[in-house]
Amino acid sequence: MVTARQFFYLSQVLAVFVFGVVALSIAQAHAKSDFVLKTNIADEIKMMVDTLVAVPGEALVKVPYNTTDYSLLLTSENIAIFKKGENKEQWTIRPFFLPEGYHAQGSSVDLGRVCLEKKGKSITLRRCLEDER
Amino acid sequence: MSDDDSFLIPQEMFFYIIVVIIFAGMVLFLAFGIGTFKGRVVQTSPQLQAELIALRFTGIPECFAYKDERSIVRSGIIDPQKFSQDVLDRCYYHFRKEGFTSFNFRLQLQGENKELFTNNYKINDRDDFTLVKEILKRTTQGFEKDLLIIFVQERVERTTDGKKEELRA
Repeated sequence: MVTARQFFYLSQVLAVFVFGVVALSIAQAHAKSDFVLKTNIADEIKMMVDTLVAVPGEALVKVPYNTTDYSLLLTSENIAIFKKGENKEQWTIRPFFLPEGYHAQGSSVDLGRVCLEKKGKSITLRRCLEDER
Repeated sequence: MSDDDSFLIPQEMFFYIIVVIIFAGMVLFLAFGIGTFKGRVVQTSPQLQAELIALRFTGIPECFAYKDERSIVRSGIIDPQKFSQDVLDRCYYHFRKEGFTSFNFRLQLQGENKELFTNNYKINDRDDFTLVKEILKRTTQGFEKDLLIIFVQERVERTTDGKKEELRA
């Protein structure tokens, strides 16, 4: 039979164990989360669009991330990054403001390396060609 | 009565309540701490973001960049005749929905003594930081050095159309 003292010693061990499990699961959830990568890709593309807009003439830049696991959607208002099956609330979206007459478009689903190309007043997100990688 | 039976529960209970509170605090601290740390790590400098947006003011003919007789765009050279509110509105305009989550600018072309504002800029609010660009401006004699001073506000609240006009007046 478990005495009161033994019960409290056991509960001490249990409390330490529970704390360890909770702490580890929190750390694991943060480590597994792709928040950092999604934020970096979205910020990078937003800044690339801002820079491309400021370049007179044509230009091409490669997004320095492998975007295989993500879907990217570029519109004239924003860039959205998300994973398959994610709700819109979970998407990482960065808005930008293009000058009048400019437009941006393009999407990427499991494309790997993607490029942003500026031609005239149009900015397109597309898969990088072999010689552009 | 044995020693175990006379074990004083209230005294140890008090200790355990404290321990549970400390544990809960540590777990919460860990959860929020990591979240805050991650947010800070991925944060991009607002100065850099504003600088990149501001490149367009001197870089493209749709903003203030000078386009010569052969239609060649001269990046970094401003055409003072273009330096107007109308051109700025076509160059950088916030959709009202998102106006308060981005950057708003006040542009001052020092030599011309002219000031322009983007549509959600608030005159009565303080500027968060300032960017100074050495530029050339087109004159009747050729080109002249000048300073384009860009005052930047970040995350300005949304304004109504009526208020916007009032701010600019």
